[in-house]
Amino acid sequence: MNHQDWIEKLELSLYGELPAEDQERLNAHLDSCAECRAERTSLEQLHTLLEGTAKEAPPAALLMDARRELRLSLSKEREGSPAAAWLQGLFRAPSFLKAGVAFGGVALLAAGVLIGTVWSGRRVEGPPVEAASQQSQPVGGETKITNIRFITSDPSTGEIEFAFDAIKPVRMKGHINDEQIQRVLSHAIMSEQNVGVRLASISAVSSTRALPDKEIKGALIAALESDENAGVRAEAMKALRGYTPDKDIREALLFVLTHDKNPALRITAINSLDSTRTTGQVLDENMLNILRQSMQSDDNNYIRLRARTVMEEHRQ
Amino acid sequence: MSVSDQDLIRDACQGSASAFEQLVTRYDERVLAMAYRYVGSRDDAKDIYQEVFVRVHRALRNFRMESEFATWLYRITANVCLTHRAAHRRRLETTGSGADDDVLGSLHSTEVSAEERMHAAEISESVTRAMQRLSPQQKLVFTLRHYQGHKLREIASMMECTEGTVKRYLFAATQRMREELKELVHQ
Ligand SMILES: [Zn+2]
Repeated sequence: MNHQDWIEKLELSLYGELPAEDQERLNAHLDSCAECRAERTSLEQLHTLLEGTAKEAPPAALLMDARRELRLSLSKEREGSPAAAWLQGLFRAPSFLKAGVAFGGVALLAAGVLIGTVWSGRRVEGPPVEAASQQSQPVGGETKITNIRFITSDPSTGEIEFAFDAIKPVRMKGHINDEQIQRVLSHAIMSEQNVGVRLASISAVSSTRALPDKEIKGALIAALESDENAGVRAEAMKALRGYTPDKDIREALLFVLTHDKNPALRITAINSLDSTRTTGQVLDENMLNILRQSMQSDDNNYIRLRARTVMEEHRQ
Repeated sequence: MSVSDQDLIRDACQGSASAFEQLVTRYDERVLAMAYRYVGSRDDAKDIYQEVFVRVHRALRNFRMESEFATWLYRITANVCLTHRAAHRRRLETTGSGADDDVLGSLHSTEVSAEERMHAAEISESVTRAMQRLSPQQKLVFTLRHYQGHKLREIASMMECTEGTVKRYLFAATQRMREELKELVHQ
C-alpha cells in the first residue's frame, strides 16, 4: 500500500467511516510512520476548525422568509395569473429571458429581460442590471411595466412597498459555443415558464452539431429529471444522446428509470442505457443494483424484461 | 399517527395547498441548510430553496409513488445547487466575499466574549470563502458530509454515483480546504 492510500484511510478514519480491520492496520502503520502522524495532526486540526463552524444553522428568520416567499410564489402559480415572470423574478438569476428561439449553428434569441422589482419608499431593490432604469424612471423605450402588486403600506409613515415587472425586449444572436448564449439557453431550459420555449430551447441544442458545454448538459439533465412536462423530459433525453454517454448521463437515465411515473419515458431510458453499451462503458455495481430493482419491481412488464437483458449484457 | 409522504403527495397532486405545505415543512429545513452551506449566502440559499420547491411542486405529478420522496427531493436539490453556480459567481464578484453579514448573523453567541465572537466569525467567513473555491461536486459532497452529517453511502445514493466517486470528491475537497485554510489550521 502506498503513502496516498494510507492518507485516504486516515481521512476515512477521521470521518468514522473506516472498517475496523482497516483501522487496526492503519494504527499499526501510524506507529511506524512519522509522515502519516504529521498528516493526522494536520487533518485533525482541520476537522476541529470545521467543527466549530458546523453548528451554525441557517438563521431561523431565513427559513420563515423562504417559506413565506414560496407560499406567495405557489399561490400565484396556482391562480395561473400573469405573475409567472414575477414568480421567477423572486428567485432567478439577474437576467430573465423570455425566449423565442430559432437555430442553426447560430442562435438568435428574442428575449425580455426583467429589470424592475421591488419599490419601497426611498429604497429600490432589484437585480444590479440596467441601473438607470431602476430609479424614478423605470420605464423608457420599449420597456413594459406589468403586473404591479402592492406588498405593504404603512399609513403612519406614508411608506408603501410594491413590486412590478419591467420587461425589456432583448435580441441576442451568437454561436452555440458563446458563453452568454449558453447561459440564456440553460436558463430557458431550466426556468422558462412556457413549455413551448423549453422545448424549442432543447431542440435547438439537439439540432446543433457543436457540443454545448457542461452548463447546458447540467440543465438538460435537470430537465430530464424534474421538468413537469413529459414532452420536455423526452426531448431532454433525446438531446442528451448527442453527448458521449458518460457517468452523469447514465446516472440520469437510471434516475428516470427509478423515479419517473411515465412508463414511456422509463422505456426510452432503459433503451438508451442499453445503447450506451456500444461505447464500451460499463455500469458499476450501484447502477446494476438499480437495474436489479427495476427488473424485480417495475409494474411494467416490458421494463422488467429489458432490465434483465441489459443487466445480463452488461455483465458479459 | 402521522400521515405518510405518499398521502400528502397524492393530496397535493389533487390540488391541496396545505398538503403540499406539510410536505415542504417536513424537509425544507434540510434543503435550506444544505443550500446555505453550499452557497454561503442568504440570498442564494433562498434562491435555491425556492427553485427546488417550485420545481418539486410542478413535477410532483411525475413522481413515481413507489420510489422514495426524500431521495427524489435531495437529488433535485443537488441538481439545483450544481446548476446554480453561474449566478452565484456573478454575485461574489460584485460584492467581495458576500458572506460577512450572514455568517455573523448566524452565530449563537451569548456565552462568548466579543473578541471570541469576532474570531469565530472570521474563521467562519474564511471557511465559507474557501468552500467557494471547490468544484460544484466537491462542494456538494463536502457540504453533505461535513455539515449535513450524511454517510458516504447516503451521499452516493443522493448523487446517484458510487461511493468511490464520492470519496474522490471528498478527498480532493479536504486537501483543497486544508490548503486554503492553512494559515488558520496551523495557528
Ligand atoms: Zn505513512
